[in-house]
Amino acid sequence: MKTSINTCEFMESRNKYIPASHDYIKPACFRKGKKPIACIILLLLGAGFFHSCDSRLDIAPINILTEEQIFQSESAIDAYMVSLYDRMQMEDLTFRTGAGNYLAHNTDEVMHHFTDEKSSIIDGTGTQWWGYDNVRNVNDLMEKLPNSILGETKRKQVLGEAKYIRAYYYFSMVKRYGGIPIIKNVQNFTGDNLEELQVSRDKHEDVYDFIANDLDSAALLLGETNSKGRVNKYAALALKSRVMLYAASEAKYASVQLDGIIGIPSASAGKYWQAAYDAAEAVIASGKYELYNKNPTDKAANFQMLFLDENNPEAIFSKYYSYPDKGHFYDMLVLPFGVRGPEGYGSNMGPTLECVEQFEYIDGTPGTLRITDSAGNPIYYANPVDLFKDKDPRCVASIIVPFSEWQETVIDVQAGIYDLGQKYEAGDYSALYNVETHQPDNINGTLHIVGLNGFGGNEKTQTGFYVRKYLDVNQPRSRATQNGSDQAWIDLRYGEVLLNYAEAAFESGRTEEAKWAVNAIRERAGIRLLEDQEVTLERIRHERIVELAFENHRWWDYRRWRISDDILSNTRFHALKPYYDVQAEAYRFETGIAGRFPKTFPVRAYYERIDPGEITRNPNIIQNPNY
Amino acid sequence: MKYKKILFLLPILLFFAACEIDNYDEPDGGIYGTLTDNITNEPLQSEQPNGFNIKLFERDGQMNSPIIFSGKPDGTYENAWIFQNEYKVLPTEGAFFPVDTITVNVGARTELNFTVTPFLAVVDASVQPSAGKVTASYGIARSRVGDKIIERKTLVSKIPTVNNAIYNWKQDTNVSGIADEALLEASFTDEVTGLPSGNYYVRIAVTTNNALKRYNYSKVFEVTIP
Repeated sequence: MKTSINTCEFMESRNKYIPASHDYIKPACFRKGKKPIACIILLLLGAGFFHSCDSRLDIAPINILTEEQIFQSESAIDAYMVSLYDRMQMEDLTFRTGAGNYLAHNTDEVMHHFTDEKSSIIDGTGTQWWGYDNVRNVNDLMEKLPNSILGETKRKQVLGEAKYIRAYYYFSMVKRYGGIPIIKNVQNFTGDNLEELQVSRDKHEDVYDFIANDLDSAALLLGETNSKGRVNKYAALALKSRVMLYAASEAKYASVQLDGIIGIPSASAGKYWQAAYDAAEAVIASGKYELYNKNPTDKAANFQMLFLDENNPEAIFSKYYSYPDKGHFYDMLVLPFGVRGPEGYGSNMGPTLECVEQFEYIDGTPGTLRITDSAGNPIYYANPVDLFKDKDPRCVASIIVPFSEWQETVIDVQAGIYDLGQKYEAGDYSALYNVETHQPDNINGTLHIVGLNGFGGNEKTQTGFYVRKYLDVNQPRSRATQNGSDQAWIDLRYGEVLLNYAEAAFESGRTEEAKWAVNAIRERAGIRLLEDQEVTLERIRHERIVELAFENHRWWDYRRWRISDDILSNTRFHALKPYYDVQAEAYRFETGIAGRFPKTFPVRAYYERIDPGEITRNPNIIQNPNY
Repeated sequence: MKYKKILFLLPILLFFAACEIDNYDEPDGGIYGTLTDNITNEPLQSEQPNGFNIKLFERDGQMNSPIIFSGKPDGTYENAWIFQNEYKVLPTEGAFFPVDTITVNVGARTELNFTVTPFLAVVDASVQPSAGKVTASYGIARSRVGDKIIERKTLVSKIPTVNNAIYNWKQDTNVSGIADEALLEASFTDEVTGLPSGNYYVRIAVTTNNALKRYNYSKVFEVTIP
């Protein structure tokens, strides 16, 4: 049926644009020596085509629901919501920037095993999301909801979710671009209202207020619980605490430019710190969530399982996957080379030495690794994992440190051998060393010079470390494929809310509350609690970046604190290289520069470039500075 | 058979019918010039890429995006591929206070110079190489009060495009705790040490707390470490 309709259109268009075509056919048919019967058959066939343009056949497609049908069925609305949820630009386990890097590659967190991180930071276009098509869909839903079949309760819930989703869409844009046009209603082109549709950018502050407003409505409309994978009241409040933190930082740490289209006057900082504080406190006071602590005796295992246990009292809002219908590729990309999946592509994230040292020791002392003694001589470790013995348990729970295990396989990142004081390195795992002759010897050698997982050859970590956080320890290696992983992404967790609370409390002068929240995080982590005089902005921020490492917060946090350009200014990051000493029968460690290129964050990237295509379509959109 | 020939000839005829030049001429205008720093009266020292931008707004081009291109690190700019027309020209987003647009008729190659007031200027700069190190001495000046002065530094690079993001060694000092008046009166000496012998490019950079964190630079000194 569909084909015949198409053919009609095709024939019509032929007639329209090549009016002479029939004139060519006719003489061909009736020319000398040809039987007219053939022509008649042809004409009949043609008539058949035209006949199918009957209006009786002009019916709606049977495999696509129309809008009217959707709003007359509760299950159809639920199905429609799925697409709105799915289009939220979460920085989840699959979110990568233009150059194919995770956000963590663009900070001091990790190095890729080969990609040049510079390219994705430098242009300010790496994480584009201009989601007005999605905004239109959710606005459309809000407008049609009153005429739907839904009962009062269900309608309130769906409207609440729609508000949440719209806020999420706008937050994704405002944190990238600054002020953007606020579109609250569906825009329609009537043929002569182009100017009305060419809206201007709203002020940065107004956009944040609009988002706060939507989240407030969502919190009022939504119930205390909702079905799996859908937001409830506390998700709206938790997200609000994050959003308000971003707004307050923008007001406090950035300057106003372009008449307020980017930047927020510093006088507004106070009200946003307060809003962030209030929203976080509402979540805390509800008592509905708690820090994950199912395994209090093994803090490292506990912290690792926090991200894998789907029955998790800490998760406020998660995005679920389901193998094989909707899987993802996190394990494939992140697993170390030696235990990678069947399709390859592993080792994408190698945490830097700097990132590892950000984790304190259990006794609260700074996390610098003890690789040399006070005289500068190397310290030997018979068991190399002992180097990390007294570190914050979150360190080994978030990072696969050298020679620790993944699914009972030791991740060997040996960088070389010391024999008789002489250092040997190699470019490939197959290179062997002969301890009898004291020479590299690929034929009779017995020791591998470099480990299977590090320093030598492609697709190995450049830093000596791999990421462990979120890797699914219960998933067989054969499933580490393009679509094989299905662990959920926790988009909002109670731990983040506590850290939002701590930061907002401290910035608004409530040191006592800030201390309580940070210490709750530290207690769960298993490290010494902070004393009164230790509660500083620096410590609170430090706790945040450590707790939330590799969860795609840091890129945004450094940006909103306006310190990205200090941290990434032609900066080289470092690797930890373990060497096996044949005489000592133990390991010693050295540091070295990781990667080929330094990382630099250009100041203009505090606001991303708006796609010039959008400006061509709408000249009222002003470009951000310096693009 | 005649009919078949016509059928073949027709498309060829169509081809020839389209062989008429109906394209616009390519742009044949150009604009160039220099931004002069009104403290040192030298070209404004900048960086690449994107040390400052030039925006061109073409007359009758309200529906066009402005033409934006970057200036060069020596304070000059040039765009030799624009249409001859009347333009408003605006140098912007550099380490200088906002200037007004100038309207100009661009011909084949039109010169248009600007005088700008930089946030800061590096004055009396000199660089002395010696074994294993360079010593830079300089002062800071300004002709208009702007944001707080926050940083001064000496950058040493192996390549000539040395700037805030391209360097191999540096000596930087955060001066945000010192009053501007004191900074403007003082003279500074930076030592960058640990340099193997060879050729280096040295530059001094100072900045205020401006929104785009633009640096004002000295000119590039080429030195040889023995």
